[in-house]
Amino acid sequence: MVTIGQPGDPTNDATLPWPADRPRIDAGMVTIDGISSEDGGNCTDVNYDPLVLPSGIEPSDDPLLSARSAAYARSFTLRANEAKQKPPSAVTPKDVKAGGKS
Amino acid sequence: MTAPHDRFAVLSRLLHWVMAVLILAMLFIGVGMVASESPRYDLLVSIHRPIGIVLLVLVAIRLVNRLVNPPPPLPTTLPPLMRLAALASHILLYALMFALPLVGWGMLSAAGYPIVLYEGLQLPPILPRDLMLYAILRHLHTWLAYLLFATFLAHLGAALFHFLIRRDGVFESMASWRRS
Repeated sequence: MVTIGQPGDPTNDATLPWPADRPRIDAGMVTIDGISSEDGGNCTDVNYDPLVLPSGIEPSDDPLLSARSAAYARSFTLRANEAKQKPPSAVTPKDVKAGGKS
Repeated sequence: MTAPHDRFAVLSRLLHWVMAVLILAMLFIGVGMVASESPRYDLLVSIHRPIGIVLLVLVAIRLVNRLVNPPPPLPTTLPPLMRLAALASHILLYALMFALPLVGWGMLSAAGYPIVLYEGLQLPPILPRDLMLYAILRHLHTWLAYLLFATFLAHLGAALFHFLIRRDGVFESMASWRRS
């Protein structure tokens, strides 16, 4: 869902809701069509930094973006540091298909 | 009494002082940004990268300049141990001035981050994407920065020692702006 704001809508305080009459656009749907373990998955070694943006997209003045970026950078470094020591994932795709670990 | 002592070339002095300001600023920007999660974090990170690359370019120019305009000789009154300390600390300073921006550039490459200098201006990665390599370089960046800060303090201390105690003209060879 994408909510279209208007000038004056607060963007620097996530605790302030926008007026309920702002137009909302259903921009797509996430479909889960497969499962994989984090061990072989392709999203483990990525830092989802909200300030690393493709050109054409600018960050807002939301202070949470900077806070998340700073905290993610630190946790990403800690995670990278332990990449070799990490035990295999406790939950495998097989477990999920079987309806969870017994 | 101040012995007559040649000064550094104008370009050498200019490079020294511009880089001194930038390096000191970078040490504090670096410490400030890793300690902050305020909106300043984004600002500090986005100026840390381009200044780092500017410093890398400047130190390359400086090394060439040093060969073209060699520094004035140290006073003959300087004891051999101090001569050795001066040589070693300058080699260390140059090595760190090259290493810090390169390690910074390398660690961003290894993490797979885009290396954005300015809106639309991006540098290519210089290392393959490798998480363990990133972790090593990220820590190396911090430790080399602390080492640079310590070396800077030693350099400042030595400069003041020449200026206030030995009074041998070494300080003035870099810090004097009088017309020659």
